[in-house]
Amino acid sequence: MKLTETMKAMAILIKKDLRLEANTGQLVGTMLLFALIAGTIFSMSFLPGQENIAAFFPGIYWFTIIFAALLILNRSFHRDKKNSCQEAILLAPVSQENYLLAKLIFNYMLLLLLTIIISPVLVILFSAYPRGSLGWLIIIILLVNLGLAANGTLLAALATATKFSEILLPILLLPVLIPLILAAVEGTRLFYITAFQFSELQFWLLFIILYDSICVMLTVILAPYLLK
Amino acid sequence: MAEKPDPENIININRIIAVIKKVFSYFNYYLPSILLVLIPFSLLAIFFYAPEERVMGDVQRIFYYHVSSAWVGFLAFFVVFLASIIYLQNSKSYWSRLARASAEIGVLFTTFVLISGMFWGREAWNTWWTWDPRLTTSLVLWLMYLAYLFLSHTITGTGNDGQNKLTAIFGIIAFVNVPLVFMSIRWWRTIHPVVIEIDGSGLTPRMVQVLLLSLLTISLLYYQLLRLRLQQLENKNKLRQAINKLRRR
Repeated sequence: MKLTETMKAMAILIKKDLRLEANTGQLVGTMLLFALIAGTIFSMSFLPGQENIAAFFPGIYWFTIIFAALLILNRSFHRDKKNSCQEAILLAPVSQENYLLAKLIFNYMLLLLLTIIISPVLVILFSAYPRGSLGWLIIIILLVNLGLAANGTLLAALATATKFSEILLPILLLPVLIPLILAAVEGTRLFYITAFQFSELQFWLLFIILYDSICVMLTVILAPYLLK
Repeated sequence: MAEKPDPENIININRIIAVIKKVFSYFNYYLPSILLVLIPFSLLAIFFYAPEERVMGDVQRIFYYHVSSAWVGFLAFFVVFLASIIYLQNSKSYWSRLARASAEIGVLFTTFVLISGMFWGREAWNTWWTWDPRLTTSLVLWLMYLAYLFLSHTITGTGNDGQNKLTAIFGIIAFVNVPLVFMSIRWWRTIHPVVIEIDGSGLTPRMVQVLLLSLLTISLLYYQLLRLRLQQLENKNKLRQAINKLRRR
């Protein structure tokens, strides 16, 4: 009984965010436009058509997505801060964990939308077509985005609780993301080198799953202390 | 009729605690003088007692303080983690100050580790920087705790309990990431050709003795610095409270 009710509450929260987004289109617009511009500038400054695309394309790909994510993560909390919406939501029978998890899922959805639209653009701009089985690549992208959304939501909630959220979020988030960035870049690079090694892919996959589960667990554990 | 137990015979826990406290207060009182002797002594030991390393020569003497500082850096970050957890549980501002003080000293020692490591690397491996797992982990730790200090610094101006809790939360997040950082970097480096591997097995007994002495010295130094900084932060807090009280009148 309790589980279904929390699910219902979370579904309502996510629906609220989605509706807000559908009406204003603020976050999606900013995010997509920024990623497009950044991708274009990256591809112009890194000389497309180079031989060793494996050396730099995974890094550029993930950094375009991370920078775009940095733009929206704070905003998704700031919207709730207006007119003390966050307090009102937490006064309703919704636990802090559910609120944060709902935000996490919403941010994850946004990141997935970004990835779906921006990945083909980047691949075409750099003419960096991945080899090997695409299924594994998609799984890696899904998992890395989950980690990004989880960590980003947690730290954005932390940053927006201060007065300096805009400057704090990148400084707090990027060092904590280093293991995930490493795993993402190395995991993606495997699809651009000639000798595809499944054992390495397996390690990075397991690592990303471990990272994601730790992040989600931290979100649940720390939520009551984070939101008052 | 129950007889009253003889106070001389039973083990009185309060008395033991009192004795321990007394010993500690003596220790705290004499610690600066101990350090005043111990630091020059360990330096002398490093330069005159420890043998010269065969391959690297004199520059290897950096090793003793380098390793000790690295250990203290990790210890300091662990203290931040523990103090943050306790602070989240009981909201006593002492723990928040302890975490802050420990993080500052940890960053200080990690900075020293990075700089001394660079000098050592320049001499021994002929490069200022290499993506060795240990070096890289120290660098990432350093960045993370700089972010921690930045957060705690921007927040202390406002100074209330809820805001201090945010710093504690970041302290926990950062420390939970440490094993992940080490793991990912370790694996990342094994894929790429490992250029240099330090041979850790070639320590002579004399070297081990000097290393232990430096470890002791630097750990005591950490403890002393931590106490001083904690006292400072406490005084600052008291002063701020007094000023606020006066303003309200």
